[in-house]
Amino acid sequence: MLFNSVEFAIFFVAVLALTAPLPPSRRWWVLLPASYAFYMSWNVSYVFLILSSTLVAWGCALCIDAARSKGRKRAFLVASLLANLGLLFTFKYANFATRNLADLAAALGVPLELPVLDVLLPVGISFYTFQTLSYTIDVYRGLLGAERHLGIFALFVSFFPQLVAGPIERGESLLPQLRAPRPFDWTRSLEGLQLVLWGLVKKVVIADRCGLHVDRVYADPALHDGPALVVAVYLFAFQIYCDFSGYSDMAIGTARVFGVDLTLNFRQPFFSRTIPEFWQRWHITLLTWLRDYVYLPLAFRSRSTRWTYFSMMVLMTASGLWHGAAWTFVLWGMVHGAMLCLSRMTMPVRNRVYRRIGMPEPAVHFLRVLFTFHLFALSMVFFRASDLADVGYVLTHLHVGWESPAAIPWLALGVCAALFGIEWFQTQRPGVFDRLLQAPLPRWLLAYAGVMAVVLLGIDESVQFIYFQF
Amino acid sequence: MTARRLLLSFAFVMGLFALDRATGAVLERLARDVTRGTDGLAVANRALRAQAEAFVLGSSRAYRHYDPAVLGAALGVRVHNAGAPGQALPFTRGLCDLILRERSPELLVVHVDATSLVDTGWDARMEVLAPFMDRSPAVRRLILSRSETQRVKYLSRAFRYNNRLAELLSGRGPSGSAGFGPLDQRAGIERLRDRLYPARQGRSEEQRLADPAEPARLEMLREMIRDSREAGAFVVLSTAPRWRPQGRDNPDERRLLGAAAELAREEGVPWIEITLDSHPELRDPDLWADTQHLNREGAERFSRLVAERLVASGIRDRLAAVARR
Repeated sequence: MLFNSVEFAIFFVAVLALTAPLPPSRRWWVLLPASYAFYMSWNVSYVFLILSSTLVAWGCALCIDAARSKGRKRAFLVASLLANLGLLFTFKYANFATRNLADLAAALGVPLELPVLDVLLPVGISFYTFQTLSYTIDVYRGLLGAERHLGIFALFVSFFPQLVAGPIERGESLLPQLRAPRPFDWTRSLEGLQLVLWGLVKKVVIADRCGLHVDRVYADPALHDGPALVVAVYLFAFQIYCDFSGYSDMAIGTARVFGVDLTLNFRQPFFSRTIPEFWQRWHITLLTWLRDYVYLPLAFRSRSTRWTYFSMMVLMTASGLWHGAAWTFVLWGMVHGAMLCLSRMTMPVRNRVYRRIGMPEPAVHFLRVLFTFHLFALSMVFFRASDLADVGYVLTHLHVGWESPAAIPWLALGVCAALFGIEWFQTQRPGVFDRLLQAPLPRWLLAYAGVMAVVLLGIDESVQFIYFQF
Repeated sequence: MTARRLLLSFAFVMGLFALDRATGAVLERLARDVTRGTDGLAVANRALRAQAEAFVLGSSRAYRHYDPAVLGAALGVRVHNAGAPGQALPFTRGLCDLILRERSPELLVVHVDATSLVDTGWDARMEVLAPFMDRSPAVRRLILSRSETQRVKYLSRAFRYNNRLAELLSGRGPSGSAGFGPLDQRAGIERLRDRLYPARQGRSEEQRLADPAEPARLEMLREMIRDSREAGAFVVLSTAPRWRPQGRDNPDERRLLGAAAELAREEGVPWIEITLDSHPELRDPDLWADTQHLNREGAERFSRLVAERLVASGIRDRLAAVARR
């Protein structure tokens, strides 16, 4: 059941109607079965995965909380990590690992027959696994008390607005809200619905439209010349942003209607001046997760600069691997790791150069934003291409064939430009949109414009969100 | 306070309803004038205005292959080519119903491909006919039956023009065309071979051809034949060759076309099968623009062959008899 489907709209209204008469503390009675029904709409059998992941994390956290010795606490933590990471590894990485092992053995002249698991990747497994992991680790670290109520904890793992593609929530933020959500509030609900509509516009009007060109080109890049490839590179940057941030907006908006505040996942990332700043604005909940549970524990082991760079590389490689079991994702993560390190290394030199040139600050700002955006867009070739051969083809043919430009998808470029304009306005005049939306007339006009944009310009093909596959 | 909010919500929904109707009405007016280009809407508008007694229906392989001038000269009637590039059998079915209702044709030549009888993933494209939903029960049924939520989407009048703004704005103006869009280029043998690459994602056309003929698609053909009969029009089912590197028809394709031929026999309508096996002269790479389409020269030869077969099947005499009555 996709957020951009009529089925979801009906489901949402039904759940809202059922939860509305309940007191906030009893809302989980409806939200929990609704969340499981939502998950089962993809594949009924995978409900056992999320259920076992929930039970293991819940039980281990209670045992950690009750354990008196550090050793016992650690034993339960390790058990929880092994169980949850084991599930993730089995369903997401096992085939990748066996395939590479077999390839390696073949290269060494040792034929190796390894079994291939014939399983579909359970939707959202990376998201809810990371959520249960952080919960257990936080309980172990003493940052969070173990949740005793199984129903509330099960809802924490499966809360349908953010179940399949985040934001990745922390126990300290989400659990108290699920125990006692805010009472229904008209203004908050309206804000939530506005966010849902904006997310829908981003998804079906911008992302899916960009996807028409991007999918055609990346289906077989060798059939396309430079102009089509360049347009696909730019459009994919917008597609992935609008697809994922659109989903996040819809998730945050939906949750807000139910009285729950989810964590912001994107903050106009295309206006970042550096790659490190970009990663503070893009998929914020994943990067903060990796920072807290991978990078910081690693980086604090040594104060040497080299170790810091090594930790950054580990952080971003882990981010790449989290996205998918393929070398293209691993390389994508490593490219971003390298860019983070280079950005940090060259920052003083670049600042000196800018000062020496004497360019006005706005011009420097603009150039840095432009450069960062291009670095990101080019790096996404690794993310989108089917294999390394396609990555190589795209990156080496961007300059070829400009004498006979391909058909340009003007409408897709136009809606991207419109989004760029809106987000630029938001960065320049923060809060103006919020104030505008307080008044009924502008609110109505914007809502009408959003609905008509979806009706007239939206791609009506129920295109899956890209991040559902992770 | 709650009553006021409910009232405001009601007013918002009513406003949205009014906006939707108004937008739908404006777009409907725009859509009526779209006759340029190969978009399905333009094809349908052209067909519904054509001064013709005979119509050719089908996909791009109908649009690029059947020359109305050649067919018209042979049959002694005015022919309009209503083939629609990028469309599949559901579009043909919908347009057939519209033409039968609004043009009273005497002859329909329905082009059938092997791929017409299997799912190519193109069925959704027939929703380009949504502006005609109120004029054709068949179009309405085909569109609404595509999924259970179609009824909800099409509560919106403006949604009938979903993703059509570019066509509505660029396709306006007189076309003066009798359909038919032959391709001028000569592919040549290397290019034809180069284009026979396997699909890297999804199923290739060759893989789709291995599927059995879908009963629902055969039923669409049967409905077209029966509706045409009821409207007093003759129907002919026809097919055209595809370029094959071996110079022979694909066995799967032959099997699927066999199902169409069998249906034509059951319904008692002529079946014109012009393929590489039956007409080896069409194997010449210089007659092809790409692996799917003959070029202008190839289309002219093909049209002459179709015209000969139509005349041989007695259609010309029957049309003449109708004209005399």
